[in-house]
Amino acid sequence: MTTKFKFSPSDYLLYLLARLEPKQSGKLKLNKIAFFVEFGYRFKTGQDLSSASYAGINYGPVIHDYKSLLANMEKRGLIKIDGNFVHLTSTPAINLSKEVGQVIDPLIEKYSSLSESELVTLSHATDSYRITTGNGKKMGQIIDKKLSSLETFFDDNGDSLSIDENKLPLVNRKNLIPYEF
Amino acid sequence: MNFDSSYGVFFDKSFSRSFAKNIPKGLKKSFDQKLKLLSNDPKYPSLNIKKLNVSQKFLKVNQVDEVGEFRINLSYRCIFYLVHAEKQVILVFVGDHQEVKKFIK
Repeated sequence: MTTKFKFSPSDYLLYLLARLEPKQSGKLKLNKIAFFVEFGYRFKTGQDLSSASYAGINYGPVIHDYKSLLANMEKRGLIKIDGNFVHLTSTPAINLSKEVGQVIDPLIEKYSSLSESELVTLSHATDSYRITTGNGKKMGQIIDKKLSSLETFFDDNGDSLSIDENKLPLVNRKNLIPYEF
Repeated sequence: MNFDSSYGVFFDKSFSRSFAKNIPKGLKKSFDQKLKLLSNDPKYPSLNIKKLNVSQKFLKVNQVDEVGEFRINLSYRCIFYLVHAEKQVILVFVGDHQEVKKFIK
């Protein structure tokens, strides 16, 4: 991919909001979708999707200083904040190349289908978050987007590997022991 | 890979040996956490489950249906077999990426 497209943080959120059902646009869920889509894009293309940065907090990764960003967007009339939910005030006019859309639209669809709590749990388990926060001990640190390369669950084509089966252990099925947690 | 939370997790002596030899004591807790995830929701992304391609002959000889691996952390992987008829996940090997890579072509 040669196109070096990069959203501004506000345009990025507008693009996401335009693709979410109103009930999916809670502030935290929006942050989580933004994180997974941005890091998935970086994983797949090696390029930044937006100029937003992400911080590791108790709720997992979120857009750095997202409260100020949303407040500013509301002040500019781009969105309306209704309690915990964020709504568009009009349809945003954002020009996005077909090739960028082909990468991010499936990611938006995939992660918006998860619940907020699922996204929070999932984001806590990412290596990007765990490494940045020292397994949840150091909050507020900015997550280096290069860490997205560790999130191999974004790899759609990496679901099978060839193996030298002659080296695999033989198992005696008669002597299996249940694993106790 | 096609299995769900109704599958039980099992191991045998060869797995115990690789576990004792290759897994640092501090990693036991992470391993248990990942196994719980595996038995509750095998599709959980951080498990990063990959199917390992083996021949039909291998599956027949060993009386298993599929071979796979999941990720314990950045460095450590666990190889397992699936037996669908008996709903079994059989842990067969655990080790760091280099050790698991010995099996990968």
